[in-house]
Amino acid sequence: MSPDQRPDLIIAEWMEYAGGSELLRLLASRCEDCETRVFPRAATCPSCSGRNTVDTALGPDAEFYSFTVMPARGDGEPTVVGQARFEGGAVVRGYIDADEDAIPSIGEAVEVVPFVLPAAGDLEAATTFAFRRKEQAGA
Amino acid sequence: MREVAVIGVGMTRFGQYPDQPYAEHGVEATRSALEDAGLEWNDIQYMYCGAVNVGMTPGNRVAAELGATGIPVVNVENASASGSTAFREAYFAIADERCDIAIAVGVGKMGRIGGGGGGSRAEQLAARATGPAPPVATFAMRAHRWMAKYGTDPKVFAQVAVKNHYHGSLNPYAQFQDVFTLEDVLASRVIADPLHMLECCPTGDGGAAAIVATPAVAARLGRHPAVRVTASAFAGIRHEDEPPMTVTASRDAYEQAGVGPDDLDMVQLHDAFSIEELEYYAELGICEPEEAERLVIDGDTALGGRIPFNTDGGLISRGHPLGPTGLAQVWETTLQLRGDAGPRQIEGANTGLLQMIGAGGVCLVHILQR
Ligand SMILES: [Zn+2]
Repeated sequence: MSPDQRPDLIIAEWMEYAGGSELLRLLASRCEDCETRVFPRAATCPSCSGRNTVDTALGPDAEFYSFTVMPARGDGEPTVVGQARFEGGAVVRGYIDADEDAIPSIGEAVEVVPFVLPAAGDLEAATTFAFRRKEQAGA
Repeated sequence: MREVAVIGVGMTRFGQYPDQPYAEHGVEATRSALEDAGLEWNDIQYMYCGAVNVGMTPGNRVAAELGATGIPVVNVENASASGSTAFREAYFAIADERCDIAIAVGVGKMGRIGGGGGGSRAEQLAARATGPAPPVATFAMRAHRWMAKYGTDPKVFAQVAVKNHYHGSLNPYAQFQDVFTLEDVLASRVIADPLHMLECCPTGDGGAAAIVATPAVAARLGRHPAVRVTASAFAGIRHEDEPPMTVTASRDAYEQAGVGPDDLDMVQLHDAFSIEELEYYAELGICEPEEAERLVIDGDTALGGRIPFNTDGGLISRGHPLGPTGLAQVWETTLQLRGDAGPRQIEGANTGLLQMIGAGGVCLVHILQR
């Protein structure tokens, strides 16, 4: 799906397209006193309480940190959620763009990609972020 | 600081009681603790009540049914650790000479807990943006991380549930009283891979209470072998839980009591999900993380083993109505230290540790000794 066909980013302050339209960066803060990274952005460092945070971005590259699969009750798809760890140490939670049987291994390289949430009930369709196994060069 | 003794404990059988108001659970638990201590309600000088989402001033509602004696009633809410927090405040009421006899009561009515449907529009949007995040998912991800790090077979987590359900089968106040085999646990529905339904605590209702007093009061009553509260520690969370709250709180508690992990005869802890026991074995300093699975496989942490954990069934089997849970730990540890734990009795138990975690980032550790 091209970016013009994709619905709007669900929370514009959380992410931006990286270069092209197939990867995302997460908009985060970095503490100038202790180097802690925090997503989403925060004026106060959660680690040292300092107020010297500056804007930074995480990704698109990350390391797969953990995951779980929650089977659907009744019909429907299972929910696959996980975490990725970014350079600087921040661990972020999100969807995984993979089938239940093709989830990345913990420690494997992943990247942040756009992920479309379909309309449901009162909720409009929206684009959020997900973690996907990083494509091997030439693959 | 004055010394503090537990002089009376009581609880209701945890379970689903949709037609019973929560105050009745509190009254029943309080009357049981008063009878255990040999006291009347008008002997109580200070009351602390732990509860979650049951409505305004739950302790006052319980007290009103017992008699309006004019005592101060303080209500505390700290998620799963609400009862433990009430116990700690009652402990300080004695230690700091606020009074000579205080009660901590916990009540729970889980039917009133919403499924996370509340929250502001911004919170709902954030939840949709990152996917469903019930507590079980958080602990399931911790379980996968543990498996990747230490090579643990998830059957070991299931074995923790087998152990705790067995302990619960020996406790007439436990919500579940069935023995489940490893096959039973693994055949129960997957809630969040690798955790099965029988590895997760149930929701439920109930009440529990503990009366604390000065050693002089305990000696005057003289009904039971003295049980002393020798440590009360509280750690709030740091960023990314580093160092883990349980490490911080337990080291503080060991120092207060002048004991170490090797001196413990038993531990009650927050096993809302089976994986937690292995994590806390290591964080409490019982073993290195890579050795934790051996404690389960070898039966070291089962009744009859070297250091039994969750001897009353833990959250998984005894149940976890939030408000009273920490006080159920006090109930079990007190019975064990008196030698009154019946088929669950640990011979010669002298020292027990109680650990409780609460959402939002709280950890309480108490040590009780005879
Ligand atoms: Zn900082």
